[in-house]
Amino acid sequence: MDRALIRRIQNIIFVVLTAVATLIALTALVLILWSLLSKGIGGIDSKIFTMTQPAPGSEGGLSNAIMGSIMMCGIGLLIAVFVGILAGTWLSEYGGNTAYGHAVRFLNDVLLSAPSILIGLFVYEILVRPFHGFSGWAGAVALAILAMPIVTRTTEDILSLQPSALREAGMALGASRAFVIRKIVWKAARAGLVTGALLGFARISGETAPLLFTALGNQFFSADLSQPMASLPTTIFQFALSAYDDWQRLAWVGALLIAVAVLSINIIGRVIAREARRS
Amino acid sequence: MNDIPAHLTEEVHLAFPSRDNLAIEARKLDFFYGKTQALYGVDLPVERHKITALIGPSGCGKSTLLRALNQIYDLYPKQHAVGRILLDGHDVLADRKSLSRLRERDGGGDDTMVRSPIDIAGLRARVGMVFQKPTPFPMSIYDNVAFGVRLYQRKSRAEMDVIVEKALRRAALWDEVKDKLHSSGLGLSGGQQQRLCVARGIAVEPDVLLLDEPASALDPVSTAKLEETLIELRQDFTIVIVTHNLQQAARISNHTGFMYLGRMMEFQPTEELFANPRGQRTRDYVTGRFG
Repeated sequence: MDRALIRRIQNIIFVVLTAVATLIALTALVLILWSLLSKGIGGIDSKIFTMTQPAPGSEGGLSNAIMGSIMMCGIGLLIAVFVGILAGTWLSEYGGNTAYGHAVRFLNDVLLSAPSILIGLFVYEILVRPFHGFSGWAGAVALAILAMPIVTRTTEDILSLQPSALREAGMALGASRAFVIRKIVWKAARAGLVTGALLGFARISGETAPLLFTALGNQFFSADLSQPMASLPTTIFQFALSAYDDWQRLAWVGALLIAVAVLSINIIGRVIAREARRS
Repeated sequence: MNDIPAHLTEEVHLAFPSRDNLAIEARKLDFFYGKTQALYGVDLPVERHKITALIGPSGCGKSTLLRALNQIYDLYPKQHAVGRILLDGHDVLADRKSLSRLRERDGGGDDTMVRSPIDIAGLRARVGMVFQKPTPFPMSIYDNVAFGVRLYQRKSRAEMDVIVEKALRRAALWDEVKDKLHSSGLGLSGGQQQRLCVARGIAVEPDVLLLDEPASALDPVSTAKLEETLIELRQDFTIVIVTHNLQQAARISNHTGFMYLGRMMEFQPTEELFANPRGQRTRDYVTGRFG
């Protein structure tokens, strides 16, 4: 056989392999979305957002879980973005090449892949046991610890990508280093910084294990962070494993809500990022 | 240093302008990247309201010398300079570390050094810099130009408008951007971006403008425009330009320094250096025999 033919055959085989792999990945995603939609969408009505979780067999919704998830994810993400952006900035702009910097980066990577249940246990030890009670604060802190290394990592990566000439140009005008970072480097990198925060949110929005140890769950509506707090993942966990049909239906609705929230926040983030790049 | 590289003992041909009218000057400047020495006792007198060009093959230290003049290397902890840099008679390298390095090299007790130090922010306010690749900040054209001014002065909106317009006019960019001052500087073409960087640099009214191969990323038309701008700017500023483009140096500069492996080999009035180079290496370089 001549070489050109062999090469063409190799090419076809390779294209087919990659296409099949893509198809497998997409199939899984479509199946997940399909089962979420088909089993969850029927259960969505106004009661989901207005009523708290019911006793088996009676009417109810998920308002307590939705509220808890929004509060704990929101506060957790705020903490994570605050610490993560500063830590990532330090790694990229100041201490990244020192021995301490290398240690920080290594530990951050370890934290990045730490099992979330361990983080739940850790927060249980430092925030739940000493204060004799599960609380929304403990849940938010556990989520923050999960999202923090992601934000740190993406911040460092994205800042390192900014050309050093940009920093030099700012310094050459007489601006201090900190000023250049805040006004120029962060601004140039804002699309990436938003992406980091979104990745962090996507990670924590579905986390169950750390919340079981920290926020516990709450069948009543509560916006008091010092009390045990409901959340969508823990409610799904509880309802999906129950023997009651109506609870299982609510679990599907909750799962659909999380998926929709992650999806829409991702889309919004992408739009913001694109706008940021354009201006 | 065990071996002295050959070129360090070669004869140099330096016809420096008189010291009466210098804007900035490097004296016996050594420069180090970590342990690697990149400049060897370089002298560079820069005459006021003139354009001084630095030429030489890649890696000869022209950019290093330029970056030493406004201490931009300060960003990188492993780089340092030893020697003296005088801005209008003020010592630029006057921080304690630089002084002790200088004393270590030249011995103590040099009373001829009149110390009147200048701090780094003051230095950078008076010595502007334009880089090889255009570096517009991620903000509007207007804010790009106003950025440096805002670091030093609080201006009213109307005053700032005047400053921005003046800087853009001097950089020959005004007519092209006057209708879109508040759109992003990143939307301009490469040549426009580079002139925006020039406008940003001159908006703070520096004494000296350093340009590090400012045209190397530009097409011939943009390059010609930039060169015109620089010749205009000579009236108000002192310019030092590093360039790989010999014709460019010949076209726009008053003095030219030829550097080779970290050493200033020849320094002449530009016409003189190109018409009648004294050193063999200079001759080879400007006639295109190497480099």
